[in-house]
Amino acid sequence: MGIFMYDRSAVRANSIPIFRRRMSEQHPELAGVVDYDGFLAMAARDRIHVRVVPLPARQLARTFVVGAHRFIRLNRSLPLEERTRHAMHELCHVWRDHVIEGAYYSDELTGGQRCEFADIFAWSVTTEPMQASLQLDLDF
Amino acid sequence: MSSANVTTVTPDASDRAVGRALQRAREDAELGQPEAAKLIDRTRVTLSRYENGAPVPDDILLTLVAEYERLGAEIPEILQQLRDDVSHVSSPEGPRYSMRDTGKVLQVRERANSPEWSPNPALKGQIPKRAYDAALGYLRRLEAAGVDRDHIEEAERLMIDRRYAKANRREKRELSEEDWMLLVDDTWDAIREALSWQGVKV
Repeated sequence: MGIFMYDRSAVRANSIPIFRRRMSEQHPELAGVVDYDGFLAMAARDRIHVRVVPLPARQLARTFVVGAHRFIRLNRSLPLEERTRHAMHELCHVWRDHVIEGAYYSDELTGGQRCEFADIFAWSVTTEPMQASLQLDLDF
Repeated sequence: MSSANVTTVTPDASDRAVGRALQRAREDAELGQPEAAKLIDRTRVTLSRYENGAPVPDDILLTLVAEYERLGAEIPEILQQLRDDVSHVSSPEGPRYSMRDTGKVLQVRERANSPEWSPNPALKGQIPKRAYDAALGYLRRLEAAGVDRDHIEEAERLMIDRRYAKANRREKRELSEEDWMLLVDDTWDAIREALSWQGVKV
């Protein structure tokens, strides 16, 4: 699988609860509400390098690949809770969306199906009420 | 105007479709990625990027299509169409343009056959000048440190090529020059860090 730690066909579920359950097999932090330390632990486990840096005001987070190394950058201006949520958005891209080159980013106008999935996933894992509401099992 | 050394860069509207078509043709030619990469004097990683949607330089596209066809592969229609479009460039009369269905005209200097890296002129206008000059300075440092061409080009795309950013193509507002400086500097920090792990100091 090269740079991937996960079989894409296995993790690329279109259901957020199923995706979360599959990823929680490797990342037990996903069993509960994820906080920033939990995100850092998951990123470290997958050898993703995380930095909190100055970024343009409307680029809240970005993910990019240099060679075989994956980087997640988080906007220094974000308060911790938002930082965690955007971090999990980026982590969702890494896990699910074949990030082997180029750059992904999360900003105030994120769009497209992949970003919508990542948005809802990030909300679901970082927010207690959202966890309960995901009995709806939204499909993409 | 310049001579026959003109190549166009394929626009990104259907890069993923082109990539998939290249993969199908390669598999039909019964070639693995390493063998196919040798045909274009690139690494397997670079070919994999092309097959996964990275923009494909026209000269690379022409070579791959010709080689796969020579090996008996069925060439998908999208590649046939692109080959026909691109073939205008190689006319002995020396046209400098390749017309796309959208009417967009792209003109860049050919860099393909040189083992040395040179800045991609197609990327020059994509970001503000100050950020571009800063990125160029960083890329020259990679060159001076002996980093190979493929990796310098990757760094160039990461710092400068807007099409390399996958998310949010709806964003129409321009980033300011200062915003671009932040992005270029941050990307450079990551590149330098990644290289340091491999023992390369820049």
